[in-house]
Amino acid sequence: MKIENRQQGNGVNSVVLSDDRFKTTQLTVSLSMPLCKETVEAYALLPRVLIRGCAAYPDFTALHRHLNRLYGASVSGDVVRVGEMQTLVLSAECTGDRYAINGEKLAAACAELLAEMLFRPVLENGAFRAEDVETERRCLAEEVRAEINEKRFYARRQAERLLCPEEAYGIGRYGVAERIEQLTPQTVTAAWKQVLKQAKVQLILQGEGDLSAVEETFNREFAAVFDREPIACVTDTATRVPTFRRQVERMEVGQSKLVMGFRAACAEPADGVNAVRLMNALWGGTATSLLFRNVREKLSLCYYCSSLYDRLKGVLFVQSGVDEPNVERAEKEILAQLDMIRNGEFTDEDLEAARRSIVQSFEAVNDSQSARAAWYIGQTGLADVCTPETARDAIEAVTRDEVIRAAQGVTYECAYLLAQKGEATDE
Amino acid sequence: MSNWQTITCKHTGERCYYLLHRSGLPIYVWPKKGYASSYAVFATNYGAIDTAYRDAETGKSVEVPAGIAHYLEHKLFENEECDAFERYAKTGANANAYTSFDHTAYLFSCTQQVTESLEILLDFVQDPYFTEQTVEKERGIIGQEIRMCEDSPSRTVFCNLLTALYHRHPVRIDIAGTVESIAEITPELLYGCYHGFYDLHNMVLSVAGNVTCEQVEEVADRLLKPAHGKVPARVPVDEPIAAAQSRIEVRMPVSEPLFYLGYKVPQDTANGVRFESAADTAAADVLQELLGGKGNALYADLMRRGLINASFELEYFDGPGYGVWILGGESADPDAVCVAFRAEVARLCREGITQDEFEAARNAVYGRLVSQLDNVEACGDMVIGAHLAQQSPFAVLDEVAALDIQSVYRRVAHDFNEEASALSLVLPVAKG
Repeated sequence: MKIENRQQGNGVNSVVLSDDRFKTTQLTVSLSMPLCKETVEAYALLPRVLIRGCAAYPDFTALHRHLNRLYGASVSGDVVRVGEMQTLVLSAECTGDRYAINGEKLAAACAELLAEMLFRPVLENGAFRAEDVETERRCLAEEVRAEINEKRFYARRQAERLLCPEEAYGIGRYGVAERIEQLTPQTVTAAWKQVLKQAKVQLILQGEGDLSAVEETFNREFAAVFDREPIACVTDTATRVPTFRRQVERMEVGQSKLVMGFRAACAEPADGVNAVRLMNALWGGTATSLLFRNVREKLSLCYYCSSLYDRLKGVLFVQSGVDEPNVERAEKEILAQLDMIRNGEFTDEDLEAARRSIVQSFEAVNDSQSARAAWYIGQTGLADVCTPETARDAIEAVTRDEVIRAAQGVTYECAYLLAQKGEATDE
Repeated sequence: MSNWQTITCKHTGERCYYLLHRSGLPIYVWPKKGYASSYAVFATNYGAIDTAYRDAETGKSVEVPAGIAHYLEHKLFENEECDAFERYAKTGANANAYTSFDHTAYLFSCTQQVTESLEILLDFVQDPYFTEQTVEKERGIIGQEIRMCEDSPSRTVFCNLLTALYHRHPVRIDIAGTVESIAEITPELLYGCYHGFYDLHNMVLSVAGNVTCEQVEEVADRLLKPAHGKVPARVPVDEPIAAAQSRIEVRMPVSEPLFYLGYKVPQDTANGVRFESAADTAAADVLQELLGGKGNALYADLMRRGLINASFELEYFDGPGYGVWILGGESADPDAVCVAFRAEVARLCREGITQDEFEAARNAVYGRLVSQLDNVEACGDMVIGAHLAQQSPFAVLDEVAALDIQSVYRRVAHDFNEEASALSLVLPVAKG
């Protein structure tokens, strides 16, 4: 396996991972813009419209039949939130050239198709086709409204809004359904031009053999964009809302969901991030963590109970599925486990188990192309690109005292509860 | 290595190794060169549908409460001294388990100390420990899990479909059972099922990734306990051809209706054993792409008409004594989607497809199967699935490459019977 990382100078960074273990080629272009209320919906819709066709394959069905012939090659387009960036991710995936029965050049064909979609999409009178925009607009709005269907995910989103009411983080990656429905071919076309001009770009190219021709295809296209001027994306990690917030929402559900929101003392690129990562794993990040073992297994208070740390924004969430009469006890117990870490009341064995778990998850990243693409997309905007090996070494170096201090820096800021209609009235 | 048999994929050259261990356990090892991670699955051919069986020694029929296989899975993690998660904490492996309709699996993935983790896996699955007290404690946790599933519209729409399609086959009951059925579970019942179905002859071990046959064999020799091989028999179910009911509806807090249209496929089974060949599976995979894929004009047409969104899917799902085609997703008008799909099936039967369309779909399925070989977990799971279906690990991939158009025609004519279909709906809660 070989990794090459190159800065092109015009805001285009490429990570080329040439790797003969894989039978698949995966080409990813990520384009990052600041996440903000005014543009979130247009940027969210854009990748979905782009992958509907290109000049050579304007018809959706014909395009997909072409992809099928290329041994099930696929293109996908979506947005992810990276800190307070909205990152548009376009990907093409195909089997390696040596598995094509008739010797087709699959990687080159996919690179060309992806570049066509991004730089020469199907336009009518200078704008995206009305039909493409209408169909994708409806689908995206339906997806946003369907957030409510899966309660665990919905509760987490509500807690994010509660934790960061005035920050970009609270907006989410897709925005609001009503505003999605107002998008027009013209607004989405304008968003497309803006992205080509201003986005920070990461190319993540993975596959066997030499990928330099594929890299060159994209570099040439970006170099040809007139007046390209990448915009700075900054994640706000300083804001604190002064008061504790508690929200209860009632719905036809059998089991309640409690999501607690916290702020850590640090976020990327601060040095303390690795200590918070390890502290989070110890607290509730693994199946042997304090929350899992004590709150779920020993006390049987929750069906699930886990914590997560978004190191780019410096926030933590504890998610739990709990019967309503147990909510208060569960909340207390979750906080008690945090206090135990703050007081150093955990064994070296617990700490090393948490460390082993993170180390092994980092060591596994290079075994999966999608995990590896996500790894590098998650570092968009950071000055130094960090490999899983470097990250592992940093976790190995975190001390017990640093973990304790990381826990001491965590503040409890809000609690969101999704509960059954007609139960206790504590709103 | 003398007793290991090499299994090679004709088209990709990918290789795995098979050993029937002297304890009776079939073992597959799939070394992946250059990978850091390993993945192991220890599974038994026993799942949620096994609520009635014939005892191997007495020949008597036994009935047990729904949800017992899943309960057993939960309880097996705990032995007298500690639970398996605590043991895995020492190796850093990421461990889990699941119960499906026809099997139960215990698994882990890791990048270090694979033999130590394998020891833990083989040890705790062979060491049941159930008391009145521990079984009682689990009832609350599983009850919460059942309630969590009841809140999930996607799980509800799926479970209701199976209930509507099947009159008698136990696939019609949720894997976790019900709060009432799990109330009847006792340590004695758990031990009874355990000793019958967790016999090494009825189980399979699959290890893939950064591992060798020698490593696995050495741990197996040390840890596997001799088994009696008297495995209870599945009782064949006399399932009528027609669906039990054609429509089932419930209301939940969802944004749009969720629907699943299902077709129950008649099963050629004897003694509850599945006789679907790898060629049949390959034909189903290609048919799925032809009918439900984006390369079919139906998909674009339904999208244009505003009837489906990205949640749209078609898949074939099967196991011992059951097989169902499921078409589903979210839709403002599920009935209109069903009308369009039925017309498309009829068109396919009447007019057929061009060789070019067929080859495009076959290439797509082939390419996706090849891509799966990159993933250590997918490799480990592929072996388990194939073994339980009594197929060789690469058989489906090789059959797809060799498939002809006639097999697809046979499948579509056989599988889609309107009498045997049902529509399951989860509708939004009425406003106000």
